[in-house]
Amino acid sequence: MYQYDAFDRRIVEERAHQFREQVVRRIDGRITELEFKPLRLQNGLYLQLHAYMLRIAIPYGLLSSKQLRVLADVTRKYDRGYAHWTTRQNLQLNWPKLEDVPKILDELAAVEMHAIQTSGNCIRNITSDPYAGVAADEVADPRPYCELMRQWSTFHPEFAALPRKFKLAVTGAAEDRAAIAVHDIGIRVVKSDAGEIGFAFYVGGGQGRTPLLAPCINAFVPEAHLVSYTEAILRTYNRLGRRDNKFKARIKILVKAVGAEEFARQVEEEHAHIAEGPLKLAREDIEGFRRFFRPPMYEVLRDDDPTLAAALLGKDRGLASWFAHNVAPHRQPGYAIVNLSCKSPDLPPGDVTADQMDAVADLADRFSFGALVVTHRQNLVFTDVKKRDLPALYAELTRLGFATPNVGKLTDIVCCPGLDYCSLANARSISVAKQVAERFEELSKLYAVGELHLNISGCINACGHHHVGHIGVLGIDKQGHEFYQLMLGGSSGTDASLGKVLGHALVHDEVAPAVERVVLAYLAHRAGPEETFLEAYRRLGPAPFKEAVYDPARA
Amino acid sequence: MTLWTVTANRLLDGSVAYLSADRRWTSELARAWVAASEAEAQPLLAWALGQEHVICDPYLLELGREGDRLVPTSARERIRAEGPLVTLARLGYAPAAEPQRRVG
Repeated sequence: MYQYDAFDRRIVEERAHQFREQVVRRIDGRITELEFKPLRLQNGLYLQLHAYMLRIAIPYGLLSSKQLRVLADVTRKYDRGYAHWTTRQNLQLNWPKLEDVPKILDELAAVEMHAIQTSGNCIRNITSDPYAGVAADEVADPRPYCELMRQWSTFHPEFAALPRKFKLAVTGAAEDRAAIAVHDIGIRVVKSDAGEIGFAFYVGGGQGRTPLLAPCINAFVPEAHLVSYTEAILRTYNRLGRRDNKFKARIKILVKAVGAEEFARQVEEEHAHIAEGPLKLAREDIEGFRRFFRPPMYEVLRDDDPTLAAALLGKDRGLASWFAHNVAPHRQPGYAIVNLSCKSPDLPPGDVTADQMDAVADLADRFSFGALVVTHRQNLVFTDVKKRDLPALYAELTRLGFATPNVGKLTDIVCCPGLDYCSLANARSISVAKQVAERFEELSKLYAVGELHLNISGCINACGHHHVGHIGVLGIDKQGHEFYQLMLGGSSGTDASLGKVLGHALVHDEVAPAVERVVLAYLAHRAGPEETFLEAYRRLGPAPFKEAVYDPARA
Repeated sequence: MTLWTVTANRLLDGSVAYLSADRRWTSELARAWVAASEAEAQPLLAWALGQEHVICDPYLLELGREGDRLVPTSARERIRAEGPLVTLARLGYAPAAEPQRRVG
């Protein structure tokens, strides 16, 4: 993974030092809250319902075990012993005290971490495919490009005050595991017929109040122009994006208003001025970044590992089930990708205790070259596990509570903190997730249902990505009371689509039974076990599901 | 009948605070100063806006009564008053370990 150089270290340490001084000035009254708020937000510090919240950046979700131990340590020392993986592959602390935040930033800086640009109208943490670097379907590893873009976007003076926040995602694989269609810019690494690497640019996607899928504005941008073309997009947006209305300020509104073709034309016009300037990447620039992401020293192994094969045939059916649902193919023979499910009825989706973090760090050292990835579905991934080690790892993860074999299933729920914590939320989301998880705790029910993504957001800002859940739940406020809209048919994958509202809003305790009725309607109407929920919904439309939820006597 | 009080978050830890009758900040909604109308509450809000050295972003909060208890009228403010409603007893870690604020 990338290692900071002296310059990186200096700017992160200086930022932590600056923030320490700003906190002192706020506490002793030399600056007002109005003056302090933009400063704290630039360092990822929000004021939520009950406490401050610190959002820590995890670039493209990649963490070393050393970094994870420091996250555990600050969670234990300065918070209440638990933290939350977000849908942008970051980590949030829920209860830090203001005067402790500079200490946290110092401790993070010591392991090349920070909270810079995790808030505010700037380029946020760049997200990517959690299987980056090891996926069998990958054109190229997206992480060197993510890191390059991270360095370009950090403290970029021209883009420090954009009309609104700006989110990028990069994938290098055929299957979209990075949700690129619902980002301000989604970048897909592609290869031309001549075998040259380039990028397809999707611009103007997003969720929130106005959900839109990003149109492709350029199907092949040469590798050398990754940064210059991105800069041209940002510059066009910065010039033309609306600043008069917060709700109309994202780039998606601009692209929709002028049309993708005209937006692309303007970007090309801007790009023509800068394409051959200092932002043009030389081959050695890119190679320099690739060197940080070289594959680890894999052993030469048989892919059909006999130890694993014997274990899978053994008495422990839990192992076989976990292997079938939480383990993915690796491109290196004898290795596997392991998903650690952070979803069980014991914890809010994505929550993790400091003790669990320490234990996962130990397991990463023992089983996966000391590295792990946070996913936008709020789970963790060990990317490089020997197949022969899988039974031992399974046993450890079971003890830790991270081996629930539900990845990609209904109880692998994506969920924002909701009204239990968030000052923007209209309704609780964690308690809805818990009710659904308890209703479907029996694994055989889950397996009968197959792949089904449930996403829950506590407000229209859509941190739980409800628009792209196969089943989405949106919390709304009606005269001070919590209600929930159900939407069906969304997807963040290669076949991205936006969910459609099914009918009138439900009260809190009606949501889990309604989800169950949707699932039962799917089981009753699907063409066969091979037809997924999403396929069935797309074939059938909303009618049978609507009837099941709102008129169950007839269904 | 709608009642009013002034609420904010404390500067040092962001915790919820209510303005009490003796113009101190309390974590207990039951000890909050209560006005019978929004107009009556406005001068207290104006005073609170000058308290930036100890609190952030004060605003007026609508309350109702349930029996002899003061209760916020919105779900948001009820949760703000009570703390997160997430129950994680099986793992036995905070916020269950933290003392919960009482409503009214």
